[in-house]
Amino acid sequence: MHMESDEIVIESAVKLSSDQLDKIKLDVQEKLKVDLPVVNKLNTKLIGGFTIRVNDWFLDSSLVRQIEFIKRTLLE
Amino acid sequence: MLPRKTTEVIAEELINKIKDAKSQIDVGYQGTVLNIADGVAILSGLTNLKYSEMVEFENGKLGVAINLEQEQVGVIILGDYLDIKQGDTAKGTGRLLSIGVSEKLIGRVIDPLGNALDGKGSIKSDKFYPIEKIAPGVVKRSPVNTPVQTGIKAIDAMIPIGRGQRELLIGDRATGKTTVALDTIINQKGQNLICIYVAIGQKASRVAQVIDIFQKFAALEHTIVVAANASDPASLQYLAPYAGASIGEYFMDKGKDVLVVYDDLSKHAWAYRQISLILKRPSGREAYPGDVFYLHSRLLERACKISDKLGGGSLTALPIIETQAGDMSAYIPTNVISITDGQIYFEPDLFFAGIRPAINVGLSVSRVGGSAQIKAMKQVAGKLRLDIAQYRDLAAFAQFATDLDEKTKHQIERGVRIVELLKQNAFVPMPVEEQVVLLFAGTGGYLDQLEVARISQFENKFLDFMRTSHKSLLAKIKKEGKLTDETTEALKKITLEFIKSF
Repeated sequence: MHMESDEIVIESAVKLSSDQLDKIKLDVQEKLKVDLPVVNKLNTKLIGGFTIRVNDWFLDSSLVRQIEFIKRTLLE
Repeated sequence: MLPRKTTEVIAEELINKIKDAKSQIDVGYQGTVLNIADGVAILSGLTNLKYSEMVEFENGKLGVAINLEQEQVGVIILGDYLDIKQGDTAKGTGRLLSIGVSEKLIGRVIDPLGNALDGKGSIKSDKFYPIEKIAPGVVKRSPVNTPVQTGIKAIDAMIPIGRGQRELLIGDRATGKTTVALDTIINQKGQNLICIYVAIGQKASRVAQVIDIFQKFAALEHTIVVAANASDPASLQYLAPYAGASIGEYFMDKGKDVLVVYDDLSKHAWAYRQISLILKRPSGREAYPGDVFYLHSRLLERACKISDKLGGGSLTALPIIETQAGDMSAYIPTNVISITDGQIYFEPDLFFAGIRPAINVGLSVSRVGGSAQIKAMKQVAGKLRLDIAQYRDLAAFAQFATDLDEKTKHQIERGVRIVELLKQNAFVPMPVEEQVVLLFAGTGGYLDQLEVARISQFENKFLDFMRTSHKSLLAKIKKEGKLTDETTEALKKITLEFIKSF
């Protein structure tokens, strides 16, 4: 039922260079043992950093997420 | 009042909090909400989720996985589910559903997730205890041998409850089930028994009333209230008793004695039925799912008496079941009756006849409590249960007969007086030594010549007299726990003298 995507989706606040994208692709390939094309999407809501999505797997190193973590520690 | 904090102090505290904040990368698997209805979400993805693992939605709301299928998982949402939308993402937290526990919980009112409901601030926890836990095995247990003094004459005398026992309180609505449970909690002041009152699916006003009663009788000092009200989602109502049991286990593992009241498990079964139907699990009798027996058996099995070698703590359970029109043979009542170590049956007819607590002695039993009763009580109340049951039979029969033989008449006369003697108002629990001297007078036949209408007057005056003039005798019975020949003689003399002058 869940969607099988056939690409590595990288969202970032600023457009990434093809060098950077290749580097990420290699890392993802090594980690997840998949060989998929890379798509770069712009998302200014992230403020900075980037996120990667491959099917259900995700990696979030965006600035928004960091701020959220800090928000949580402050509320505790 | 708390000392006022200046803005600088607050700012410094906040800075301290985030000083150690490091950048952390969030990696994992995430699922997508396919469908959400009535507090249950179906997610795709998350194929490596564990049963009972907590799931975090993208807006920070938490859920618990309770249905794992090949392509999707069913998650019950803890709390408000209205701001979760289709297409939202969610991820597993890797943490099984658990509740924060600490000594500081005592005296507090919390929800099943450990959040304070009494407005006294958040509660710091020492440890996390899983909500679902397999009950201790046979080797870890020891037989029940210490009484829970409920302070209710009829129960302590005839249907004694031991520490580590599971005794069901069953009856129609408004027959005094909760009152007996509350009385028991109130009576535990200074008895070294921590009480947990779990309110499941009750009206918020009723829960407020109960808390008020606890405060009035200073019972909140040894009590924790876990509340999932009627307006809370079914998920919280479903989890509430398990949360109560987990808190109880924390104290039990420390070697302490705990009493948990589940008020009531009928509503708990309803909440679980709702969740099961939304999850499309096949329904059986009365539309309950197939595992509704296990739902209660795994909960009540967690009540136990731990052997002395392992700390000797205990967890006593007093589940409450509300029957509809006295139907004890409905699905949930029969299930819980067969799980527990006995039941106390409340009857509306008795209640409205003024016999309160309205306990039907014939239908009530305690399967293990007898060995926990103190000897003095056994001595005075040994045959009480049988006598009362016989009296009820005879009394029903005697309504049709005009003249009875001497023996039957005597039995009826005695029965009427004992029933009168066992009446007790709400929220006036009685210490066990006072119960013993009263029942001594009743079962010893000292009251047979007294008018029935004067029994309650006798009770008050006699206890006053004992408390003032024979304090040492009461203390002796309490200390020795039995009636020696010497005390019996003394008690006989005192009772006879008092009756003469009464």
